[in-house]
Amino acid sequence: MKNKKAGMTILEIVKWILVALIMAFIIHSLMGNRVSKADFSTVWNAVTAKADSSKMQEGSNQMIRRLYGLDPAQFDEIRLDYPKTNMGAEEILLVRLKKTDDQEMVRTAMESRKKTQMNNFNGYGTYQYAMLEKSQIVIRGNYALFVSAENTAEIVQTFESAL
Amino acid sequence: MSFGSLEFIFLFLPVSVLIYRLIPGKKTLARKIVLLVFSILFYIWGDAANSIVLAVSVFFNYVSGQQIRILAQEENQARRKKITLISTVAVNVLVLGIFKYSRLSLPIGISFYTFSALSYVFDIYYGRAEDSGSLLDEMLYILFFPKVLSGPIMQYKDFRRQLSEIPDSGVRRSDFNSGMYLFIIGLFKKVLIADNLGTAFGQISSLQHMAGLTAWLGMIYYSLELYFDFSGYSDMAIGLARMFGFHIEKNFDDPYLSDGVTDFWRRWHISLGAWFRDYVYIPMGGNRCSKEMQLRNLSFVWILTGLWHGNTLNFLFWGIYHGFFVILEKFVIGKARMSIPKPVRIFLTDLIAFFGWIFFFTPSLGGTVHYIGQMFGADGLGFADSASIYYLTGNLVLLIAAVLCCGPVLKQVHASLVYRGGKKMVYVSAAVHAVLLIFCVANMVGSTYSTFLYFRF
Repeated sequence: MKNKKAGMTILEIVKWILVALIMAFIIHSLMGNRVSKADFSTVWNAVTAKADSSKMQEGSNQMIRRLYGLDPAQFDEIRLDYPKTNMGAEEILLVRLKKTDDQEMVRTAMESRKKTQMNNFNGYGTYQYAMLEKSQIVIRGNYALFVSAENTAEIVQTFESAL
Repeated sequence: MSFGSLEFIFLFLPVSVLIYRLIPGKKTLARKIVLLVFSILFYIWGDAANSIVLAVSVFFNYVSGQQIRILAQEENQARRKKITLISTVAVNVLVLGIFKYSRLSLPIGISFYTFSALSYVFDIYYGRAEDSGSLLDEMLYILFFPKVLSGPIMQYKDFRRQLSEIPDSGVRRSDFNSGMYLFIIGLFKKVLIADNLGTAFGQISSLQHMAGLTAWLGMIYYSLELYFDFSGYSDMAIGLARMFGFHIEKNFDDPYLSDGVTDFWRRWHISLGAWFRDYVYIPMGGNRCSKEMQLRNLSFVWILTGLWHGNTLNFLFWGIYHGFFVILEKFVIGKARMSIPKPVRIFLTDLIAFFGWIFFFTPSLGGTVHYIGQMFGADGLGFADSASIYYLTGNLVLLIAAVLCCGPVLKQVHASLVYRGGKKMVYVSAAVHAVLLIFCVANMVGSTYSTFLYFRF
């Protein structure tokens, strides 16, 4: 009887240690989503320094509206580099949000652009399709990044460090 | 890792099957361990960063289950047992809610494995499963790789029964063969039908303005894509489980041939419906209570179903939308609907289901209303234009194939040919499946494969 009681106590302790562990993980993950005070130009320069700029051109606000359906006036800062030619798939969009509530809207716009590009290259642009498949959408607090490049992972790592 | 990836088909699957089958049938423990190791590898390969969430869920629910089991053996512990159950459910729902409703990246499969874990706890609480207290069995149940990412949400009592019935002779040859065939059929549904429908839908959804017919086609393509994507995944999962000797009930039963919304939900994502029925609806009183209470129970279940699917208002409204029609059929229309000819009932049910999917593919309620407006000519481009004709004729063969594959006709023809044709037809059937596999792989090598839609839930 005593053993059973001790066993139950141990199970109870283990259970709440596990709850504490998952909560610590969640808090840690949420901290990674906090607002960054990093300067937009600094982040942009860091990100684009790692990309092959010869394959991209700067996109105007009108182009951002056309390709992403986003209104640049809605954000603190937004900047786009998009492919120079129709056969290019290299692209970077960096956004600094005014409010983190807009994260989902920006994510949806980026996903939609990615899907459109993948549809465009589906079936004939194998190299571009593979690049787009490896493209990443990263949202950290008030910053959002869409990157499609040969070295996507490296650019994302630079972005994370720059925040 | 996805079932439809080349590394899964040509590396993970053959290696895991080979090692599993090399272990003598009587070595049940060794077989379980091998299956568990491969299941852990499978999950880590897909989402290593969030593996800790899965690990904590597995251990937390195991400890809770054991507490409940011990309390059930003691007298006068019913209240404590209930408190343990409630606190366990609360923690599971809280963690699931935080991941679903915060900006955190969603651990892959969390909605599915949390429901599996809850099934473990509930089945011990209600005494539905004979639990031996084995951590290995619990881990294998939750982590079993064919079902961990997107179900079917097999209930613990069913899995436990099969674990205790693993035959000494190992996996039966007939199970292995039928499992392999089912896996190929699932792959065919996903790669050759769903992905192509996805491309057709993607072209339409990227349009800013469209004529009514184009919007209708978009809705139809998405509805078919979702069915083939998820039922394809389920077939692959069930087939894989069978290759390892486990039987999982079917998750889809020709849902687009349902003649009512209630019937639709008996045929679409059957394991999720069964989960809500067994662990929410019936414990709340189910049908055996007053009409008002039944209404409350049904409304609660349908709101939960909506919330389970996603974190936007769209999913909540989608759940309410389906709940409304289920309640309407049950309490208002009743058997009067049987006076409508069956083909008309099927058509109306599909119309309701297809309209419901608009909530799924539009990002907001405003987007849903806008899309429905486009279906009725809100963009001022009329009912049809040249683009509509292009999207219809360009995908006509695919559309016809998809509609044909929605029903049981092909399955019945295949079954009757094999049954009547004897051994010769069995070889023909095997050859047809092999050709299908080759086509699927060829399509995948072309890098046009995309992930499963239900992974985001």
